[in-house]
Amino acid sequence: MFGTIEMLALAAGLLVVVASLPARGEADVRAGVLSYLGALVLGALLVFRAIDASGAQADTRPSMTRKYAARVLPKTTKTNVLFIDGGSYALNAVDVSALEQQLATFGYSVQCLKLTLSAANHFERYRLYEDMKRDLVSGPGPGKRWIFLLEAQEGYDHEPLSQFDINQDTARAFHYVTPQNAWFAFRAQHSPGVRTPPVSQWRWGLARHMLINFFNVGLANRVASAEDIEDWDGELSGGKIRFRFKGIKPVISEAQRPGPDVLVPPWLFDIREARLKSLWGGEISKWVYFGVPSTRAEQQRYLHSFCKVAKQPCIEPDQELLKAMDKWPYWRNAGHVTRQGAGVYTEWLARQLVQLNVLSK
Amino acid sequence: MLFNSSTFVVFLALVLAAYWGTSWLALRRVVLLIASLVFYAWWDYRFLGLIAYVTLVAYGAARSIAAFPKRARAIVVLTVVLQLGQLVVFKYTNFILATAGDLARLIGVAARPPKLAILLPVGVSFYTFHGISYVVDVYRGKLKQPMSLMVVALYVVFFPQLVAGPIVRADVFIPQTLRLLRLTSRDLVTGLKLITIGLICKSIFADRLAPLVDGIFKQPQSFDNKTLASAAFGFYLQIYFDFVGYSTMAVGISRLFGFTLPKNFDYPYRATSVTDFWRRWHISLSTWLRDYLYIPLGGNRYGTVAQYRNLLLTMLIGGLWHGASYNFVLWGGLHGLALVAHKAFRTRFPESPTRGPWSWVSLPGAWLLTQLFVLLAWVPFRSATLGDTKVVLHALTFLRTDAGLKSQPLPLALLLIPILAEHVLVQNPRLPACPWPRRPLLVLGLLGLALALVLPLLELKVQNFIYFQF
Repeated sequence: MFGTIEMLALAAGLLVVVASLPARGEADVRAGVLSYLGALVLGALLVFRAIDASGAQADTRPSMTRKYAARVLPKTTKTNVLFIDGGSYALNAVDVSALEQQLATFGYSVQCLKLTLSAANHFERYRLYEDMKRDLVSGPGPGKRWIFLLEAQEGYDHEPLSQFDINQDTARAFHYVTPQNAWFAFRAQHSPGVRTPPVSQWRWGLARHMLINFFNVGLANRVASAEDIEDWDGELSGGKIRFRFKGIKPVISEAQRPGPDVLVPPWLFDIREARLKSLWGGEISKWVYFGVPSTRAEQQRYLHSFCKVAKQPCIEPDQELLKAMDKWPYWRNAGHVTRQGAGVYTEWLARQLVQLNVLSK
Repeated sequence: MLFNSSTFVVFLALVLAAYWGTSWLALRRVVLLIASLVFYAWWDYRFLGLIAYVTLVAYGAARSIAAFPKRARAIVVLTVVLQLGQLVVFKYTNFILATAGDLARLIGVAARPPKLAILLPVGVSFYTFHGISYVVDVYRGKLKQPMSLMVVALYVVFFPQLVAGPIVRADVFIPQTLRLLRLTSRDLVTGLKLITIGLICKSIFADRLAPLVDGIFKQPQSFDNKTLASAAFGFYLQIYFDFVGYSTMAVGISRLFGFTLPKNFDYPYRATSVTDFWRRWHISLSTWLRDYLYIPLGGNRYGTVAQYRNLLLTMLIGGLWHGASYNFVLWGGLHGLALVAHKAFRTRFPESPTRGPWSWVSLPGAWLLTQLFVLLAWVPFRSATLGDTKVVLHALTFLRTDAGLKSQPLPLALLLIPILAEHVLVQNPRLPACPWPRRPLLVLGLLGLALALVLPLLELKVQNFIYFQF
């Protein structure tokens, strides 16, 4: 978006201006510090607004999803719009065109918007929804329903800053660690039942990213014009299977073994759900939780516990689904399904949605 | 902890708050000393022992000079040996061994000296010079009495100038530690202004050049002549912006603590002779070498030949100070020869190129010749080996066959915009002064806004400062 020449010319101009500023006169030092910091903060806010108004967007994968949403949402004529949240598990498990077709056979006119992002924790996803929201010109319109499917996943739910260790110091992390997100991530990390991120000094890491985000440090180097950002609809990925599938029956029996419920961290409702509801207001007709199948018992057990405490409708893979998926070609690895597996899951998911009666005819 | 890192920003804010939070002089010194040690330990805490050694030798020597004034000269000599001794061990052991091996091979003895795994402590050359400077200044009577261990330690490790200078004289720095400094709005404006200027020079100008120049100098033989010429010019600019950026930030940060440090650069690429260049480039080192090496060697007191010898020796040692490699010796030697040549020329033609009817030709000619020399001399300084130096210098003649080699010359804008702005537009008396209001609060507000505009332009991949390795 900003070429080398423009940036150098701007920096050179600033250098000349700063060097010409006089250091004369006397004033109260405390007032001087306040004046400096106040102008810095104000400047940072103005710079952000200016860059945003110029149509620049973070040059990252989530912006590709944002662009896809901005293209599809205003044009859709379908009665229902299904926003699908999630990480790579949901990304691989939901086949949107198959889901739309399935629901159509049940008589529902549905536009699916797959907003799933690989390696994105709940805070990065929230940032995407914030960006999407700003692109929106209007809400669902009369007679239309917007439904949000929120993924419940053991790893992301128990570790609010999941993936931060991998994504830190990237354009993606700098983009999503806004002051608000940092604050809520910090609070979420102190919620009961959560795991500490596998990155040392995560608090400092979070604060550092927040400062970089707020003061737009290096922003000119990590934004691109919206026209230059590719549109990505969350298409299912291919690739070879490098996983030895050992059957899913032991997982079913392990998940069914009696025992105490898994602790569902309260932040998922107090922070995640509350913030999403506050962001979207009344535009979302229904919030629905869903989980994708896994060959890992802990995920199955977690989903079971989660659906028990969730106050919104919750779709938990049942035995019928798990048994149907007890075949090696359906699994890319322990938690991710293949394209074939996605077909089985999506068909099942469509039926669950119909049974929940959250869609409008 | 680099000045342009977010860790340093937080560190600085905490230290400033602790420092100005007390009005007790001794406590302020303690705050600065602890902060400086933490700053250094951030790289490698193991070398804190080395800092303690340098400090204790300097402190003990100054006390000994006061106690045994008749043996002062011997004490100074011993101190210099002890201080330079550790520098030789850490910095030059492998170079000495390799040179001995080369010499042995020359006389037909097959020798393969071992390469010892010795880590080079960051900033060792700088704080060693501080250790020497303190003792010599006490010996010369520039400091009336030996200072307390706390003051000496603070002088050696004061964090803004600890790892890459400027090399501040004891008689300039220490008196400032002895009185309760007061922060004025003028200090605040000057400090923040210098930090912003330094940040632009380092993190925008130098850091944009760094990956491109490094990529070419990594394998110079793979690139065509035009690319190598642009890389040589690129490095000529990179090292300046990198070093001036660091030094300016160091002076600015010191100013926020109320300390006034001398400037280290004075637009060296405006120089019209090599002598002029050395009055403008790394001023703290060149004056240190002049006062603590060139003058003790005899300076210009024993005739022309001795003066030329002293100049050459000083520059050779100055080159070696930068690093243990023949390339640095060659760089120092080239500058020494150029200084000798310039002295000889000025003896024969005393008329300054800035005067006389032909000054409109002689002045640009002198500038061009000087800068061309400086640029060529940076080639061995930057090249990894003497072989690479040869390749680049050959390419600069444009007589090297370069058909089929990679052509990736550096963008012209990247090379010209920064230097034109910094060297031509800044502090140019021929240009009209900006009519800024003189109210400090308004100026500070403008500085805050300027920083808000600079930050988005920074390169987030922070490059190390070139002078850290010295």
